[in-house]
Amino acid sequence: MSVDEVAQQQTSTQTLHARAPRGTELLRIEGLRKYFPIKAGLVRHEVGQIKAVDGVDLTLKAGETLGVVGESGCGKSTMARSVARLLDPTDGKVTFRGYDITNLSRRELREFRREIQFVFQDPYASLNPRMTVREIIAEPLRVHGRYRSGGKEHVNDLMETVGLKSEHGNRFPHEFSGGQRQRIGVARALALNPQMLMLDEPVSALDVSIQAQVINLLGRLQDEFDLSYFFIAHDLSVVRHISDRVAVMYLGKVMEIGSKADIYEKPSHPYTQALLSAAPIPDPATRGKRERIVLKGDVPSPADPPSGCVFRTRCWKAQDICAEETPALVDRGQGHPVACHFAEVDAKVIV
Amino acid sequence: MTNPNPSASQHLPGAPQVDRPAPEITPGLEADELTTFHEEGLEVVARSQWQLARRRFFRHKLAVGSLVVLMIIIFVGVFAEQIAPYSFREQAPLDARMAPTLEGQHYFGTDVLGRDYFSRTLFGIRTSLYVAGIVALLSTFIGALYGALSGYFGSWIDNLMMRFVDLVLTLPILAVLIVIAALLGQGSPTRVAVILALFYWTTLARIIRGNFLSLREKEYVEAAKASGASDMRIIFRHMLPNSLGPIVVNATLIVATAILVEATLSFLGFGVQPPQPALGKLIDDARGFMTSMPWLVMAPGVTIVVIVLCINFVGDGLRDALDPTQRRLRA
Amino acid sequence: MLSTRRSGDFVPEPVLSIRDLVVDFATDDGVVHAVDGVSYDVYAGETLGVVGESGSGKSVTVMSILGLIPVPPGKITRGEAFFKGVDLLKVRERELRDIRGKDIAMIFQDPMTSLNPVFTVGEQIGEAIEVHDPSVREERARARAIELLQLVGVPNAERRVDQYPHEYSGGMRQRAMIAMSIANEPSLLIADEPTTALDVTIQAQILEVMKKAQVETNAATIMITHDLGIIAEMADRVAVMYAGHIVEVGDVDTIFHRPRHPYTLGLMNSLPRLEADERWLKPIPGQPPSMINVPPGCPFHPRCELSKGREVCHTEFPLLESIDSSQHKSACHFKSELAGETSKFVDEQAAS
Repeated sequence: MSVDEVAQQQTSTQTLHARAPRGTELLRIEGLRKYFPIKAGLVRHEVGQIKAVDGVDLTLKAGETLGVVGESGCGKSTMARSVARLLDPTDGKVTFRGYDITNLSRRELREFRREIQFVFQDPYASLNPRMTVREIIAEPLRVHGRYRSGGKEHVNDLMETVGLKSEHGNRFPHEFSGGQRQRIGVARALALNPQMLMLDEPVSALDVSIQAQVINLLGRLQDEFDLSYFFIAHDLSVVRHISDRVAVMYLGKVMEIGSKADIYEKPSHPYTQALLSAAPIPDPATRGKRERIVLKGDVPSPADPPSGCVFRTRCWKAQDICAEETPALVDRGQGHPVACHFAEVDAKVIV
Repeated sequence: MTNPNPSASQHLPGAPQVDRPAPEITPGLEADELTTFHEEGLEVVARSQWQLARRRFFRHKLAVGSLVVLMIIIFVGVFAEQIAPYSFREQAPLDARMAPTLEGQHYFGTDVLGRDYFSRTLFGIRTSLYVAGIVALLSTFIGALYGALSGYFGSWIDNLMMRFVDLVLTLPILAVLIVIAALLGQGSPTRVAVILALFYWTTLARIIRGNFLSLREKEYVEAAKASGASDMRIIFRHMLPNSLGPIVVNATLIVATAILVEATLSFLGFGVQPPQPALGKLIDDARGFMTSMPWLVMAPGVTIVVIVLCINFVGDGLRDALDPTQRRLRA
Repeated sequence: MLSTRRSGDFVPEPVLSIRDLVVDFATDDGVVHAVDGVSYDVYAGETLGVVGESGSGKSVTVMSILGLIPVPPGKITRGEAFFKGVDLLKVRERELRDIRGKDIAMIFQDPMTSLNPVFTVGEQIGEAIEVHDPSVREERARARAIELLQLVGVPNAERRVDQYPHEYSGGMRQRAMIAMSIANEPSLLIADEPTTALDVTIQAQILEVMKKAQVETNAATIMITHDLGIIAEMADRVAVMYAGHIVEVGDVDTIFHRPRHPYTLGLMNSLPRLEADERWLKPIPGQPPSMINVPPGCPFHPRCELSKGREVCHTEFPLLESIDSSQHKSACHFKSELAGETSKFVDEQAAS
């Protein structure tokens, strides 16, 4: 951003902080790449790169939930952190409400931090063990100088909103259970009244019966506070439940993206199909009745991804063209973008 | 807080809809499940981390006992003026060379010049503890800060800072002190303390740096960053408080080391300036009389040993008490 | 050289029979009753799925009968665990180790804890083979190791047999673990959350391999997990655990299609669905109980809809009782009220 743009931005922080109308584009990710250098040797020179995120295009509209699903190594967590600027992108562009935030300095980012907040996966590591719950939730307020006026009441309100008793604010995180800690994490994320939350596997570390509580809570909060969610998870059922649109990632790239119905009922990309068929369903009557796609082999290393289509090494449809030409993420007649040369046009439910 | 509008559901064509009424305000949680784990059960007392640590510490009988002894010694050192029956330089030739006796309150006997050794030892304790205390405080301060910055910023800053630490570590303490003593003569306790501190900060710097390298990756630090906190705030508000364990343990161990080193220096004649008694100096003074008046060596010697041992035991207990890894039961 | 034992004959004696096991742990805050009177049997050729969340005691149960819990602070207060007639809780450490090595195989969540990083995979499988049959020669053991690796689907087994565990991916390590466990030709196979750390596509592969392993060895298998989907796929019978107790047990169809305990039903209904949309989930309210101050009466009652306003749930502990004199048992005072209830997954499946 040029100096003029920064100046213009500062005068228009009003528009930044006003709530975006539902349905307008809130966040746009274009060509995002994040590579980690692999260093070796005495002088620690770079011998290779881990291509954690390798060209991702996604958008998030105000009021919706975008679910990003994929297995380990697909880059979804790295992508989330790059977007929230906890990591610096190697390449690409991230735009929030029209402002290019990709290369902003820490200071310049501060205004945006009020609008994009993060909820972390690990309920045990995401809260500072030496701070009381009240201090933890108040921290974003203090950082932005907004604690003085009404901060204490606001923190109490937040605690009640997420289902905790405000008189427990003086306790320390280790006195709470996993589910309660995640609630504290959510309360902290809401402290500055952001427009969107990035949630990185927020329920994966919780017991099953507690997951449902937190998922419901997130759903309720979204309605109540007019939030947009960027929801990352590996559990397909959870993603289905909470998302409006879903993107499937593999080895740093988006394989398929569409509405909930598109992905779960008409999966077109072979990887999506394999994922859905592999997910266990809690009903023994489905044993033997499901069309099981069992993929061969293991996920390739992101330090050395396959040429062309990154999924081709495990794909039963792979042909020569898959190694030569990287399939673009475009609509090939299914009604939603798919990155596969042989994507099914009229896919049927396979679950 | 209003109930969400149940009719604002997302209907997607084709998907079978299972409509359920919206849940109550707090779906699924009774917040008082925190202290009362259920309605009729006993309340499990909530404990802060400090209380837990204190409890763990008091389980170590040796550490607790040593702490008590240490407290006594410190008390004695601080109030040496009031407790000592004599001044440390008062000479009474008539009472010279007395073995430890209750007569005249010469509990540790007297030396060649008739100076009361009990008093001298008490003042010696004070000096030694003073030097050791200053060394610990100063080196902890420098070391923690240095290590924190190095570990937090990482990359080339860290590299540079650690190479400097390596440099300092190559310097031989004794040699440097001897040179300084040769140039400036024997010094005040404060000067000795400062110079020692300038060598001893390196251990803690390394430890804290390592600690920070791992803390940096913790999610609560990321959370602080995500809130927009400045680097300084993150270091001082979030990370240093979580490094208190190693800091405290290291500080106690520095005290022990410093006492020994100071004693060595005084013994060699490069430490605290006489007639200020330091425990090492007392031993040095008594060198020639080891066979004839062994109590002159034993008193300060044993004192040093006791102090150092106690500090080490307390350090052990502290290390164990401040260990943050809580064992959780997996079923 | 694989055993050709096959099921087909009805084996009335269970391979493992745990009777009234109570395991306590001493902690700062009091005694934790991690396992509080658990009994179940496992028969040859079947897979018993033990399902429960953290704190249910499902892992501690098997760890303690295998002698794998640290004995202070842990303590097996009472109970018996008969393995082929021998009470594992009464034998000496040495004998227990022997039995563990030869006849009982374990697959854990993190294979790196059981795979020694300084030996090659082949060496470790070979060792398992030699423990089982000391007369086997080294070349034969290595050949057998390769066979087993192929059986479990490790590609390039001839090359991989000489690699070290860190050269294997997570999924392959689990396969190697399974290979090691088959090498023993065990009578009892215990898998504790074997796929929890794995991606779902790898998990599908591993579950296939485990099914294969079970057929090969005809071992009695205990599959411990919190994932009901895995239970639905792998188990023949299911035991549901909560707060150190078994709250329901029965064959897999009955448990899923005709559950008779509010926890089982609640658990199933709180899961989000893969093949249907819901507006809100129906969670089980509250949290798992403290294992130190166990509430009197039923441990589940603070979270149970059925117990509202009912004195007996607060005061009297419900025993695990048969339903209609069948093998299906439930520990609930009001289990009969759940007759006809079924999980939402089955509901919709039938509807569509």
